Order: sequence, then structure tokens, then C-alpha cells
Amino acid sequence: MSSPALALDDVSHSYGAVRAVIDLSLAVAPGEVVCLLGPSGCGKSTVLRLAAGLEEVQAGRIAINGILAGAPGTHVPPEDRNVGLVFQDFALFPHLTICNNVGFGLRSRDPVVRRERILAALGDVGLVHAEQAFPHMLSGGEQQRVALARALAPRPRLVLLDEPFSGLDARLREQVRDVTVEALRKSGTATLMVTHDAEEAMFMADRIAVMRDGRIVQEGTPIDLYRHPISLFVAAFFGEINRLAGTARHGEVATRFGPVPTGLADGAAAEVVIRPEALRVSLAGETGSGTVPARVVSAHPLGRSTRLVLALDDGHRVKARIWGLYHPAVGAPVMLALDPRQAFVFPVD
Amino acid sequence: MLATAAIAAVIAIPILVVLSYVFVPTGDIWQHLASTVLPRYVTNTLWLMVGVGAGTLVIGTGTAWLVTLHRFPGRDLLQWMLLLPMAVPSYVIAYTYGGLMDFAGPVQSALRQLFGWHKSDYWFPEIRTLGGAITILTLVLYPYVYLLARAAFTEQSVCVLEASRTLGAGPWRRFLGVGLPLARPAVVAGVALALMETLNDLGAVQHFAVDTFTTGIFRTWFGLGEPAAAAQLAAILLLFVLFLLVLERWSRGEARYHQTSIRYRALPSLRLKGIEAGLAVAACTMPVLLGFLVPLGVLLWWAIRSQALGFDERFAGLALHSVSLAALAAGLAVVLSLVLAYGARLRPTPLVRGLVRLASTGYAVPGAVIAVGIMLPFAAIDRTIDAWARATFGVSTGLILSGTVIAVTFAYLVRFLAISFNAAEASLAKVGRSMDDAGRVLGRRPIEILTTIHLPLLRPSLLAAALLVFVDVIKELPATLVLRPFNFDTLAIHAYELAGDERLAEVAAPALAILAAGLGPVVLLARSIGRSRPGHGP
Repeated sequence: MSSPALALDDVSHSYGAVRAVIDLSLAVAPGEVVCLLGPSGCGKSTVLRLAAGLEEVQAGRIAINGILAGAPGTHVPPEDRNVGLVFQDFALFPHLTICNNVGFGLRSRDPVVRRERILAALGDVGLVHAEQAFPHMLSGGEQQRVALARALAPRPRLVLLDEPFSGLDARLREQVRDVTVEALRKSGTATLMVTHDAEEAMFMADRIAVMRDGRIVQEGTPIDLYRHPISLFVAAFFGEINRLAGTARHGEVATRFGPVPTGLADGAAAEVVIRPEALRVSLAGETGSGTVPARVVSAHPLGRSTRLVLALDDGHRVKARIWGLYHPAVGAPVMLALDPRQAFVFPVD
Repeated sequence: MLATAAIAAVIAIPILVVLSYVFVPTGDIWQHLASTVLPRYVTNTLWLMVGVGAGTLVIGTGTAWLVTLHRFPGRDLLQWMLLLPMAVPSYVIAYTYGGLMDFAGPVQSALRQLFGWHKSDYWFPEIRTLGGAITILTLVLYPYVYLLARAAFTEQSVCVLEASRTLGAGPWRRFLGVGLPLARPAVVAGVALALMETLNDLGAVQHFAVDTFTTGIFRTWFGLGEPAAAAQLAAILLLFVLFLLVLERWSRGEARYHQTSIRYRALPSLRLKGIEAGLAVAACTMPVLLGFLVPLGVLLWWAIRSQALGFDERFAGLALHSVSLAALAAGLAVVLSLVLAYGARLRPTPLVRGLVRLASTGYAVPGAVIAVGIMLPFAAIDRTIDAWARATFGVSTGLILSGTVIAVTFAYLVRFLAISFNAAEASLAKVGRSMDDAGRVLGRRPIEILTTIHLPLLRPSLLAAALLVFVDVIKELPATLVLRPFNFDTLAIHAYELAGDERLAEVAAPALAILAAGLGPVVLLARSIGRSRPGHGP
């Protein structure tokens, strides 16, 4: 078995008194795309900077392709790591043409080889026509693609992406994301990407590691994390949630929507988390309708789905999301049912 | 890193030398000074500061407010023409007005001829007085306030000004109640800069026979032959400067809190009509006329009248001296600033930052003070080496450092390094850190990053900085006067000596050359004014 493209073992890092990364271990296999997902300030960007060699390792060790790159007292400088890094602000050199930007990291001095590699890299992101342009002449999405081409041109074994799409508006983002995934898969390079956007992580990643306060709190495939979050934090990170308080009794927590199974001990205070899309909404009196009556407080058709706020009999409000356009009158009676697979029980901290 | 600290420390030496004289025990000569001339120096200097401060404040902010927020005929032209007086060194404007307004000058002669008056028939303002010095210094120094106030008005969020209009504020309330308070930090900084230049001035106050600290330092050193007492005067002057520096730094820090929003739109400019427009044109034309066109006209008139324009072989030699000194200083300043700024960027430790800050306070220190701070240690070093050489080899080495190009270049660096350093630092700061990181990740070492990324990006602003230093050196008078090598005259020195001999008409040739050089920075500033408004394209 080949060694991982990137391996971090028990890495810790502080900026003065602030502990940014704490005992973090993470591996990225060759060709794999791993996403570090977490809120801003959780230390995920520091992990990238450590991997790139822009910060020196204070504790733990970092190996790239099985070779020790960073440990206390050992520091391979960034220029000798052959790692690609795509910056959040793209960091294109404003005084160089696209062609020279992409060629900046190439070691070969042979003009023929350089030309070929530059055109290949630009071709992979569909920007050959822009090679003589300067960065400021390109749109944000094009600049992002140039940044990716520049990182990939020297054929690194590992590419690091720092919030690569956060500078783009929503529509561009999807389009650039497609190009990026394709280019990364084609290059076969291992990728570690940092983002605070769960949807982006789910779209890009083979594996996601959720970070909080400098530590990885859960790691797994996108579906794993979505289906089986181990904490309220992880569940909340993957989208809007409803929170209901309850108490564990005989392996269940009773809710307004029926019992939800749990492993918590009897009498433990519990919090039940329900995703909006786990609530089935139907008109009162419809066949197969749910069992819990509620009234519509507000309905916001968003295009592909409709977001509803509903009031239960006891005045408690819940959010629900249903597919398609649906705009019931305010105050209309509806019936609710719960998909118990998308309800999670966590102990109250 | 080490280089950064070393450069900064060396540049700081003269300032520290002078400061150390604050604590030197006072001798008899000091007692003598204190009981005779010192009170006059203090009063004159303070009045000069009050007068020039008030004058530059009113003219600078007033014209800036008019041209940024109003439309009237000729506004676009006046916008940059208001900078022109910057090109006129204070001693040149003093010589021209001195010649223009004195008893034998053309103005009084014309009045006498016109009305048939005689010497004691009429009252005429005496130009060679404190009031005259305040007036002419104000006329060439108000652009500092104008520039910064203009930038502050331009950067102000339109919203607050529009809000004040919807709340019913008239034009005066908008200016005094909203615009000016928001621009206060910039205005204070501008006035502080103008006052630093006031303290630096030697030629104008000397020509007008107004005794200030700067003239006092010269008289004490060269007239009385008392370097230690001169150094103590310099130390007191440095305290004035320190006050201005603190004022300027403090107001710059304040500026942050005065920025209300980062949304920009084209400034709503109020169209002035009729009398109002006429008054605005007059208010903005007067400073340009009196601060630039009149001195220029006088110089041209002198040059034409004296027929032999003075652009002779001697002039060529002087110009060569000026240009070579200026080029040497400008080149060194840019290289050293780049090392300082890049070093501070790579390793911003508190020690390096502190040293760099100290080294870049030289712009506030009058040339006379710097000259004292260099002369004292250099002379001591020369004496030591000379004594050692005589004792060891039996030969005298004479003067090695003092009175050489080294000493005078050193003085220029101390005084003007801040200009190029600020330019280098500001444009380095605009280059995001991720540029350095990107370069390194793509396989380049820090020194290669400096040459392949930073240098090309910084080139325009470094060239501009070099030009500014170059012109400032050409204009510089007090430090050059003290430190230049024997018989090494420059254009400024020549003009100063001619004026001292009252051969004013002959001043024209060197003064015109200096003035022409001074137009360089004005052109640069005028160009940047055109594109200074954020959000208005490149």
C-alpha cells in the first residue's frame, strides 16, 4: 500500500496564547478529495498553512508522500514541498499575464516544455483563450480557474484549496465547482480543501472532517455525516434544524411526533434534532396524512423547495421544507408526520 | 532582518545625539542665551507656528472643500493648480516677495510714481517682519493641508453629507458641522506637516530677519562658535517637533474612527452660480496666484531684466552638484527603504518595528537639527582617528567624515528616508500576504519573491518616491549649508548666498531651476488626484 499523500499526526499549533489546532490527525490518500469543514476561526486554515509549510510545526508531525516534511526542529520550506495551494483571494500576480502566472511554478526552463504544460493546465480549466490576458481583465470565476491551473501546472502530488469558492457569487460558484472537480479528478492529485459551506463539502469531497475549536469532531463520507451526525454541532452544520427537548425513557424519547429511539440512559435530559425535510406535510383530511395537527404561520416558496413555519397545538413552532412550490394560506390546517431516520437524539450538554 | 535593524539604528543616530543634549549640564553660554535671545526665539517661533497653522488651516480646508464638493468654472483646473505653490521653496518665495515689496521694489515705486508720494507720505506693510514671514510661509505650505483635507473629503461617505442635507443643514453647517469634523484627523495631520516645514525653514526667516530657533542654531554655532549651546537649542527645537509628531500620529490613529462607511458614489457636487461661483473662483485662484504665479513672474522678470540669464558655466557646475547629490541620495534612499520595509514585513518583531519607526521620524526633524546631530559625532570621530593616526604613524588624517559628501548624504537620508520608506511600506502592504505565500508554494525563495513579485509591483511607487527625494534634496538648504564639502556649492546654496548679498536679480537662474524641479512631484500628485477616489476605476 502506498503511503498517504498527506498525513498529519497529533499536530498542534498556537498563535501566541490562542490554540488554533489541537492534537489533530488526518490523512489524505493519493487521489482522494478530503474536505475540512468548520465555522470560521475553527483552525481549518491553519491546517492548510501547516501542510503547505507556511507555518512551522510546533508539535506533532506532518508527512507528505511518506516523507517527513514538518516536525518540531524539522521544516521543509514551502518552496521545496511541491504542494499546490489555491488561495481564498486567488493571489494571482497582477503584473504577470495568465500564461506567466500559470508558468510561475514550473521548474523546467525549456520553453517548449513550459508552453506545453501551461497550455495543458489552462486547457483543463477551459481558459486557453485568456493566456495573454492580465488577471484584472478576468471575471472572478475565471480568476479562480487560473489559480487552480497555476496550482496544478507543476503537477503536485497534493493540492490544498482554501475556501476556493467563497469569493464567488452563488451562480458562478456551482459552475466553477464543476470545473474544479473535473480538473482535480483528471489530475489524480490528492486534495485537501477547507470550507465552511457544508453543501460545498458534500459536493466535492470523498471524505469530510468536521472541525470545531481546533479539533476534528467527526470524520466520514458525506452521507455518513448527514445521516449519522454524532453531535448537535455536526447536525446543525449540515443545515437548518428543529430542536425539541425531552427525556430518555426505556430507550426512547417521546416527542409530539411520536417516540424517537435513543441509546441514552433512563432519565437523561435529551435534545431531539429534526431536519426540516424530515417532516412530511399534508393537508388535513388527505389520505395517509400525518398524525400531528398544525397551522401554517408562514410559507416561503424558494423555487425548488418551499420553507414553511408551522405552529403546533401547544404553540411550539417548527420549520419544515418540502419539495416544489407550495403556498398554503396563512392559518391553513395541515397534518405532520416524522421520518424517524432523520431525527437524532443527543444528550444535553 | 539584521540589515533592517542596523540601517534603522544608524539613521536614528543624529536624532538621538541631539536628544542627548537635553540632559547635558548647562554652561555659561547657555545662561547667556537664556537671558538674551532665547525668549525672542521662543516667541517668534511660537507666533510663526500659530500664524502659519491658522493660515494653512483656513486656506487648505477652504479650497479643498470648494473644489471637492462644488462645481464652478475652472474647478478641474484649479483642483491641481492649487498644488503648484508646493514647488516653490520657502526661501525662493521669500526672496521674490522681499524684492517685490521693499522700498525700492516695483510695487512701492509704482505707487510713489502714480500718486506722487514720498518716502514718509504713506504707509505700506513692511514685508520683512514676522507677519511677512507668516504670510509667505502660509502661501507655500497650505498645499499640505489642502492635499490631506481634499483626500479626506473625497473619501468621506456621501451618505453622511446627503443625510445632513435631508436634515436641512445649509452649506455652512454642512462644512463646519459635518465635513470638517469628519476630516479633522487629516486636517490636523496636514497642519502638523506644514508646521514641521515651518520649523525647518532657514532661508525665509533669515531673509526677513525674524529670529527663530533655526536661525538661532546657526548663529550660536557659526557666529558664537558654541556647538554645545547650538546643540541644546536644537534639542529644544526637537521637543517642538516631537509635539507635532505626536499630534500627527495621534490624528492619524483617530482617522480610523472617522470612517463611517465604505460605500462610495460620485460625490454630489453643488453647482455654484453667479456671485457665488465668482467668489469660489476668486478664493481658489488667489492662493495659486500669490503662492506660485507671482514668485514665478518675479523670477522670470528678473531673469529677463538681467539679460545675461545666468545660465552659464558656473550654473552648469552648480546644477551638476545638485543633481548628483540628489541622485545619490534618492538611489540610496530607495534601496535602503526597500530593505527596511521588506525586513519589517518578513520579521515584524517589536524591536525592528520600533527602530524602523524611529528611523522614519527624520522627516519631522529640521535640517539644522540633523546637521548638528551629524556634525558633533562626525567631528568627534575625525578627531579620534586623526589623533590615533598621528600617535601611531605620525601623519594627520584631517577630516574624513565631516565636510564630505558622506556627511551631507547621510543628512539627506536621515531627513528624507521616511518619504521613500513610507512609499515602499505602503505599496508592500497593498501586496497581499498571500502573494508571498503563493510564490513560496510555487517554489521560489524569499529573495526571489522580492525580485520576481515585489519589485515589479513596487516599481512605479519606488520611482515616484525616488523623484520626491530627489526634488527635496535639490530644494534642501539648512543641512546642505552646514555639511556640504568645502567649496561644493549647489543651486540652493548659490541662491541663498546671492540673496544674502542682496543680489536678488541674480537669484533668478538657480531659483527657476529649483522651481522647475519642484514641479515634478506636483505633476505626480496631480495625476494621482485624478484617480484617487475609491470605486472610480483605476
